[in-house]
Amino acid sequence: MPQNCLGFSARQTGAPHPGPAVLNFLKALLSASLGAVLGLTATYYSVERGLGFGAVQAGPWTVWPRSGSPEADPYARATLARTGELPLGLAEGLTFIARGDSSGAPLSNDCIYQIAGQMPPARFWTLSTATRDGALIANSAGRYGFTSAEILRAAGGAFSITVSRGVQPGNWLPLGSADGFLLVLRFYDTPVSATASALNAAIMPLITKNGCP
Amino acid sequence: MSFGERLTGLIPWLLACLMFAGIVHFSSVLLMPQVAPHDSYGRLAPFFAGGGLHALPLAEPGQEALPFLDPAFAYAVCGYDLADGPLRLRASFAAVPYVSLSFHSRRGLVFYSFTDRAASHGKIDVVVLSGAQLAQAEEQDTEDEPVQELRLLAPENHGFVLLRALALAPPDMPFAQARLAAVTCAADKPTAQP
Repeated sequence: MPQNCLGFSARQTGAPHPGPAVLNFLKALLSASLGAVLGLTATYYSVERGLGFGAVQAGPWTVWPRSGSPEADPYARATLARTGELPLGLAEGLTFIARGDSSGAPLSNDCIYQIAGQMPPARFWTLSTATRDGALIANSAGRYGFTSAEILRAAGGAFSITVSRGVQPGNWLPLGSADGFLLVLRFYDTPVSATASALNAAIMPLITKNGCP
Repeated sequence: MSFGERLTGLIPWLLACLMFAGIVHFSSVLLMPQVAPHDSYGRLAPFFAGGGLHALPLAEPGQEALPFLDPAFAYAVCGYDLADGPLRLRASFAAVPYVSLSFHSRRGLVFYSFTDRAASHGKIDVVVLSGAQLAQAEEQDTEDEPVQELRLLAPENHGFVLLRALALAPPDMPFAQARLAAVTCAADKPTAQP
């Protein structure tokens, strides 16, 4: 290895000021290793945390409208390969993920959350919880999500889903004791797919924190 | 050498560092699909054995076949290798709340997808072909007989189909599973050469 030879020779001669060639070589080595660390850190954040390009924010919800198409960008491809998940195809629907509530605070298993408000048009939607890795969270009620067809609604069609560890009246989505969780909202057969770039928070439900007992 | 001169001397190294970071970042992102060991194809490989349609286990904590599966759905997969001939998939989806099919390449990317709404009279007849197989099939078409099947050109020989059937409530799950179990998915017999 040339760098070992150079480093060794510099130390062996015991020169108090190494020659300019050695100094430049060390600088190059330092730049390269720093660059490698920076580059891999950027990859980690974009792939492991799903922070790649192509994500669309709508309030607390994030959607990757192109991940289910052949034109998925390299970041989406890398993320899908890493997690092993299969995205919904363009014709099938859209998946929205929330990591925090509508105020921006991260979701915590110790708190009670209320999900209510608007839903974009779709044949069906489902709301489920998952760990940050996309696994289901074991709970005593054995319920991991709701479909739009099974929730209880008010007379006008309005709905509210409560996500919490402790039992709640109405549409209760139980939380196990995983370390943090995600909310996954999927719209099946939705005209929103085509206009995902025009998505905004107004057509999406709110996630409100109702205290942390 | 003054402090300012030293600082100016560092600029080229800083630029080199950033450039190298960019190269490392982009190449690692581009390489990820090739090197990721637990991609969807790898995770589903046990279900591709022997070809044909295989139901995925119901989504229960700790036994999900893939991450981020919707617990309201029954899933089935059908792996294929077009070297064994084109893949033919036949299904009948009348009066289902929602069923969809997505066609994936070896890397998990969706190259085609549709829902039961695309079925004509509730029936679906799809053939997945390679470029050569598509050309051969088109050669054998006769002009007075319209093509009844949906032909999909696969980007590569290996891939799989993922089928989803929605259970509107937990008691409907066996019905959704039965819907998927009735789908036939197998390599077409190689067509006889004239």
